[in-house]
Amino acid sequence: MANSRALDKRRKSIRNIRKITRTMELIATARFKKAMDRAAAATAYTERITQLVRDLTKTGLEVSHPLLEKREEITNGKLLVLTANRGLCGGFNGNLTRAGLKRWKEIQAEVPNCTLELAGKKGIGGFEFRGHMPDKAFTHFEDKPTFAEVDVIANRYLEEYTLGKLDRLDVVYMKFNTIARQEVAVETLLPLGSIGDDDGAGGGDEGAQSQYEFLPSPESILEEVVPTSFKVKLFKCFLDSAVSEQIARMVAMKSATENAGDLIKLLSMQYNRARQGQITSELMDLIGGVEALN
Amino acid sequence: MATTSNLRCVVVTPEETVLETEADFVALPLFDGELGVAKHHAPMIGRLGYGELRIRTSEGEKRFYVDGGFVQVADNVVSVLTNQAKLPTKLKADELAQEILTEVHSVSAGDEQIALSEKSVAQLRAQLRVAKRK
Repeated sequence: MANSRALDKRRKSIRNIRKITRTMELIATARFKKAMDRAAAATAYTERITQLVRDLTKTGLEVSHPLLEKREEITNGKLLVLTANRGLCGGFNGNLTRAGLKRWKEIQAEVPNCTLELAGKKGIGGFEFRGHMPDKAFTHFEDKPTFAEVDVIANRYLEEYTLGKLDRLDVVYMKFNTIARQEVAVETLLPLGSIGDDDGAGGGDEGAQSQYEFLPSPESILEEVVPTSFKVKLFKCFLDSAVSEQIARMVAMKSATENAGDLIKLLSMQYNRARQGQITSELMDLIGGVEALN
Repeated sequence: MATTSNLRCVVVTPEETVLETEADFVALPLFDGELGVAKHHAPMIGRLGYGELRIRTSEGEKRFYVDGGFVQVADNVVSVLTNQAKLPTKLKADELAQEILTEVHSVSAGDEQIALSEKSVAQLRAQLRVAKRK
């Protein structure tokens, strides 16, 4: 039986693949930890901004800002879809592309002028394959998006928004809830709606001492806080997306490694059986030969 | 308000918490000039400009270049929220001077571009000032 040799070959190649997937899993784990730390560090900033906004609103200031107000007529829409540059991360890119496409079709139906922006090679590929050319595409966001990079994009959006070239911005990204749970989220970032709603009603009563002095004035600070808050939100989307990508890859590679292990077990069994069969038949031949001599 | 606690200074950027330390005195670059904060400063929220943040601690003085943002002072905690906080050692005076020159000489048309260019020149100049003060 030449079968056993073929089985052995297959088993070897699966072993090699298992080595690769295991390594990828380890790499993804390491990157995930780093990305997670970055995301945790970013929350410190978000929390403080929210705190600042809460203190601002406690002064009885009327919170109004062009970025917060919904526009009556939406003629210019924009959709930003955040995907990964690399594959081999399970359903991550597929889910995002699917959700993005759905939203894109909705927006196209609702809004006369709409533009599409994509981040990540996989999303770009997915959209182009279905015949939707992005107006702008970014591929420079890897697993460590920096604030400076996001800042550039955020500034462009803010500028377009104030100039009236943009009335609404939707972002599709993978939201990080817990390590075991991430989901595709479609969020409207512009207009912002409200600022500082991230942590809900968290600790609203602690301050009987909101006797802040404002330099120069609450209004002028608010004017600065709102764009910053938008930028931070957008940055958080990118960070969440990066963390979720690593988690997705980790999980996908873990199950790939496990599956390879199962396959190896099965093939080993088949191989041993085939080998034993070969030995038995050779023995039979031998015994047959000996008997014929007698 | 606790009277024994020291002044604490926290510097955070969107990417990381740059510094969290006890301080004796903090000098902040507000949008229109410097502001010094010592222990028991009145609660305050202020807008930062581009400039140098100095933090005097028991171990010596720490300096940063901060790129706009906000500061909140309450309960002896100074929280500095900024887009960027760079160590002065990371700033190179010669390169900055060169960049200022190219920025000043570049042609910008339209109010927005002029405003943008002025902003970046102001940022660069502030960085240069911080870099030169070693």
